[in-house]
Amino acid sequence: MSHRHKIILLVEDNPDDIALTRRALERNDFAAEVVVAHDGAQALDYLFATGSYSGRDTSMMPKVVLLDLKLPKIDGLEVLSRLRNDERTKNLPVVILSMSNEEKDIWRCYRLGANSYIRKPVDFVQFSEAMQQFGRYWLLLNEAPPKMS
Amino acid sequence: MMAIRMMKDTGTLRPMLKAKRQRRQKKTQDDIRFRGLLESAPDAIVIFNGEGDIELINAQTEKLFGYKREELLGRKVEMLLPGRFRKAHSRHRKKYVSNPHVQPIGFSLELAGRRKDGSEFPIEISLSLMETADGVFVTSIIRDVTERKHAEETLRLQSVIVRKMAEGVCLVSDRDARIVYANPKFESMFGYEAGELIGKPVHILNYPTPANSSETVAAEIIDVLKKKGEASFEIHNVKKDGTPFWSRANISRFEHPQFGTVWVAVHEDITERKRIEEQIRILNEELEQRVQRRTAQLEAANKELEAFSYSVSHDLSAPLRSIDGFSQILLEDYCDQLDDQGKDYLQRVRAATQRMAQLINDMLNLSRVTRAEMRRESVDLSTLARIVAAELQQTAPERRVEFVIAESITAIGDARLLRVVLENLLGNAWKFTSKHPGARIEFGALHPNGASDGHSIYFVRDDGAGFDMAFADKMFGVFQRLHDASEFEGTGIGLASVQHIINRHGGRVWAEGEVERGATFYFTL
Repeated sequence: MSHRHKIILLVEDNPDDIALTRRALERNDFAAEVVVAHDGAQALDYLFATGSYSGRDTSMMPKVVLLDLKLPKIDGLEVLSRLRNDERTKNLPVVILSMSNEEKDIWRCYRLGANSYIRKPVDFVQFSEAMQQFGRYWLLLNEAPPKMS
Repeated sequence: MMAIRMMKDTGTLRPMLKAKRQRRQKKTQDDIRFRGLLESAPDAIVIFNGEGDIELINAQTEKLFGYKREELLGRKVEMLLPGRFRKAHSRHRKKYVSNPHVQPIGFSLELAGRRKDGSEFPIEISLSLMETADGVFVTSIIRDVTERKHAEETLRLQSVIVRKMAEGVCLVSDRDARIVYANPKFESMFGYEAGELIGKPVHILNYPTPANSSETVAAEIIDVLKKKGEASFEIHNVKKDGTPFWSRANISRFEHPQFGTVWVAVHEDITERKRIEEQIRILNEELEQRVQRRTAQLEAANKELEAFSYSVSHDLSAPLRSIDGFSQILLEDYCDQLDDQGKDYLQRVRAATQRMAQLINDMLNLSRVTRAEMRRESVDLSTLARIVAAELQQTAPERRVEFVIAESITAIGDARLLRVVLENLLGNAWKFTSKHPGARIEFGALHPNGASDGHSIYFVRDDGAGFDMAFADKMFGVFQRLHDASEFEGTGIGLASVQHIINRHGGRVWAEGEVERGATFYFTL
């Protein structure tokens, strides 16, 4: 696996939000590829190389997953749960990006093994700054869990 | 005379004298016996002649009437009677003498005797005639029946009471557990005809249970009575027609002169009371159920509201983000293709979306506040105020604001909700003093009744923009604002939240202010 090629898996169904998030991430030079899954099922297909992604080289895991909670088909919490239950993705960094600031939701995410929880602000300027900080931390600063065989 | 007789017949003299002596001795002995009888009699005996003169009396007469013997002998017997009876008695006497028959005691004329001191007492008289050589004599035996009369009166009174009383009374013979007496109320209580219950076994009145026959029930009651002598019970009875009913019975033992040992049972019909008790019990149960149902409904409604406001706020936020985001991107990417006017428009679009986002947030908070469960505990308001003040200062460290927070102010209430109150009130004070270079914000409490006793009035005071008192009551309405958005930003929900929380604590909130001279917000808990 190349250390250079960084992948962010963005799991988000709202096309506007996809566009905005992409833009916020790409404005900063993180040299990362943004892969978008439009719902929970697609996200799992990608990570486990099933369905439309069968045949994908699973040695290439994203450096971080940006996961929205409100998703069609399989929702964010379910995706998180399944990731944590599978050896291949147990330690995969997952950052929840959600509109909710209800304590219940935040608690549940951490309970299921999320690494971090970010609230989506309405103000785009704030959002851009948040994505900048997010990228700096998870793509540049953070050491991804190594693959031990 | 005797000497002449003796000269004529000396042979028969001695026996004649002896007989005479014997006759005299007998007469004396008879006399003594008679006297003995007289004096020992428990009743007063007065012997008088055909004219009514008293010839002989006994000691009891003296005692009863309070006279000495000498005072009575030779006097008319009528003196022993009160004036109003004398004439009638004198007539009766004369009639009796001419037509005698023994009047047994008990065949009485309602007479009274009169004592020497003038007092009267009830008597009964029985008469008998004595014919002697010296004439006709009447023996009257006089009995003082005062006590008997009292006893009769008491009995009569009790009888009236028993007959008329509201409780049912029955007597049950201890020997064979049969009813020997029942008063009218008892009979009607149990639905029997008058006298129908006499002689019946008492267990026919007891209502059998699934476990025990009526005989057993009755026997158990008698068992308890024999042990304790008297007891109270709530008994399940059955009427003649089979209707069951409850009564409260006080039962005690009594030695009746006629019936022997009996159990006296006084019954109070508590059917009504039991019915009311049952109704109350049912009502209470219904109430409980209703309360439970309502609570469940309320909880369900709350949950729905929660889910609703949750999803509403999210569904509303998403498009706002889009509007704001793409407006910003336009500003960034097309800034050279936009003139100042165009940029201005886009800025307005962004500002509007920000405000709406804040509104949604505030509404979400308000709904959270109205739904929150209240916990009551002792809260240190002084410390809370200090924390909130510090947070406010951090939002704009360059501002010079003097916070004056009174020490050791505590109250009973929900800590989280009270924090919201202080955040709103102090936050408002902070906001409305922002136009002043230096500002003073105060938090304290007034104790009109002396030391803090639960009737304290808490206040937040500032010397900022203030408001016109004419609009004082409108301030607390949802979305009500007294300043327009250009002067001070805000959604107008804060005070509505504050009022809601204070109301939930059972307190009041009100404000006083003057334009440009500051405002004071008071609240009680």
